[in-house]
Amino acid sequence: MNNNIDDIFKNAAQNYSAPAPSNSWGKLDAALKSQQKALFIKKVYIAASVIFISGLALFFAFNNDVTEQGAIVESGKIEKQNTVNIVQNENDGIVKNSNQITSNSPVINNIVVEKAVSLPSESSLIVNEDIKKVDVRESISAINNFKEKKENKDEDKISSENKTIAQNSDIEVDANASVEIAGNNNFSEIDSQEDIAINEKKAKEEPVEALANIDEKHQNTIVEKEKITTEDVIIEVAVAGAKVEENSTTSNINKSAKEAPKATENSESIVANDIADSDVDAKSITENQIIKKDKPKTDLKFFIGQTFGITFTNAVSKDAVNSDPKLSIANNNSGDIWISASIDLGVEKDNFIFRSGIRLYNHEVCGDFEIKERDPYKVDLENFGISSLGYIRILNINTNVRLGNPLSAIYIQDFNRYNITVRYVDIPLIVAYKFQYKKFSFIPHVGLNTTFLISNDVMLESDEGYYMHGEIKEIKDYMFGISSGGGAYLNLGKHWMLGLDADFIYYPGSISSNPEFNYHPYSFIMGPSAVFKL
Amino acid sequence: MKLKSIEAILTACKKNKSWAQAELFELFSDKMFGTCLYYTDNKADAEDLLQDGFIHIFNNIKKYKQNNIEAWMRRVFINLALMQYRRDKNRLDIVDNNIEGVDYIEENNDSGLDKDDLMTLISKLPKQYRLVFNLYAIEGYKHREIAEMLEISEGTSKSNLARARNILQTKIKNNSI
Repeated sequence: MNNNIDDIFKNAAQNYSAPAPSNSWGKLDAALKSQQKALFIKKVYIAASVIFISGLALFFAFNNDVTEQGAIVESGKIEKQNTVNIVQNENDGIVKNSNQITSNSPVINNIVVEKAVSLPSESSLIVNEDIKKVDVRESISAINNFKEKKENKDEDKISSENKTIAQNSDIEVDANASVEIAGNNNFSEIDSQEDIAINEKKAKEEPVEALANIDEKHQNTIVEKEKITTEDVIIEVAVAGAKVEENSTTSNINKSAKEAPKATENSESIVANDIADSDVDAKSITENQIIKKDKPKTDLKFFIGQTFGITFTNAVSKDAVNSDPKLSIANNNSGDIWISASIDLGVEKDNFIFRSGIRLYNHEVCGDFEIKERDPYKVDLENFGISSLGYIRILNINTNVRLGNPLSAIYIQDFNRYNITVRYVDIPLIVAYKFQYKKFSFIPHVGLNTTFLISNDVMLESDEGYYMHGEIKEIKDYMFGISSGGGAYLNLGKHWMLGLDADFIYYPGSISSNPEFNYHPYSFIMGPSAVFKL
Repeated sequence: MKLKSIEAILTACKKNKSWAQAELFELFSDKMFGTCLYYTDNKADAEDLLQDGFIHIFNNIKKYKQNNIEAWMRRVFINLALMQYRRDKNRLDIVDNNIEGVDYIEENNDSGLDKDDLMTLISKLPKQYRLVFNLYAIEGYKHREIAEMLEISEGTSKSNLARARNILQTKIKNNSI
């Protein structure tokens, strides 16, 4: 009997079914979309975090590499026109005339210091209070060598090799400055690294005293005639060996007699020869006469940018409503404005910027139409495969309309509005170049874009609120595009740049995998942008 | 509309294609809702179970590697029903011993014995009786397995099954008069 009962119910349960409530898919679909949205946001945050952390890791790894080279001191930054006072040791007989070249005294014109050399406290190089950034990049071991040699050799016969100044620091120089620096040939005669170390604070507070000390000790002479003002030129100077970088011309400051001959007739080398190396003629250096030597690998800059943009998109489909306007009217609202958001990570080197990131944006097509006589056979829609002649044949849309339900063929009079939203995540690979003008940066860029479809949504509505919800079938999961644009930024302090950025992206391929619907989407995105430089 | 094969639908479901999810739901929602009905007390709970079950299925369909999607889906629904039961049991300390099956049957006015009626009889059993009966008689589990699933003893499982049978027999007898 027990088995009999069991069998009765087991047989009844076999293939037992009951019609699910009609709205159950709608609820389920909404729950799934909510879940997917949350998942997507989570993925974006994870990706952004990975990019950010990777950037930081790279930055710090790189930074460590720099500091290991020793003697790197970062003190501050010049915020305005700078003045550098360089004290003259009169005993060395340095020529003070900025326009004149003496045999032993290189004259450097028009130097503006942004990053002053951080030298030992008793350095012969004095930076006044206007100099706020000191960035010494390498140890100045050459100075110690020089010291030893100095002890062993006659002062007047110091070889040019010993005079080579190690590249140690960066100095930004203003090409427009009217300052002249005359340094005597004893510039390389600094006793030791300790002697040269510059304490910026001390330099700020006691520039004259510091200079005086230096002069007394080493009898070096660095003559400062006038002010050095800052801006466009960057000179990377070391105590023994210098590097000059300029916006348009990057030059080396050669302090070696050996290298002096390299200073050609055009005299693009800065010669800061030792006094003892009197055979070498120092040449005056004008603002255009600075030549380049090596470039440190430390001028990579990392940055993170975020842009919120207003996005304009083209129509990615069309309405083809019956030609008789008395019967039907269609309005295409394609290309609605959407807010897009992006986050970028980039690296800058020599004003070239390479960046990538994530950008979220939408293509949207809206259509409103009115069928005056409610005659479905007078309307023909063509939109992503929504093709209709009297009724919407669901050719290219998957919907929640149940199989076998008469609604699988939606009569067009049942609705008069549709909305198609296609959502993408775009990953750009962008190359840009930065033009600097005072505190402004202008950054044009070009790039390649890979765009991934993350969702598409089709909704058909009526004034009564009826809707059919679905998605386009034949749409590509990803597209490749090209982009160009640019931004104008205001540099705010050391780290921040704020500005406007615009980008135009065009996708040569059709958005649809159905050859019948060959639409090439594009987007124009413009909005405020904030960049944080590491 | 051109119908896709179940393999194509499952493949698309694994890619989180919404249209495929809609089609899978379309194909199996009625059967699964039937299952939900005789594992729950009422239609509202069955609807909730249906939604939870399909969400679970869509989230875990990548793990599906068998040949029988219906059996797999059915097992998902049953497991969810059991989880719900265990959760309620821990929270509410359900004691089915207070429920007198005979009284319950006397209140029942069913008069048919078709599938729907039989399933209705099952759904109106006390919760623990219903689960034990479903798992034993319909799904074919052993008492030991049922005891583990419901976190009860084997003896309780056997007792519940006997009571459930008694209730159902009585009900069928009453309906056949």
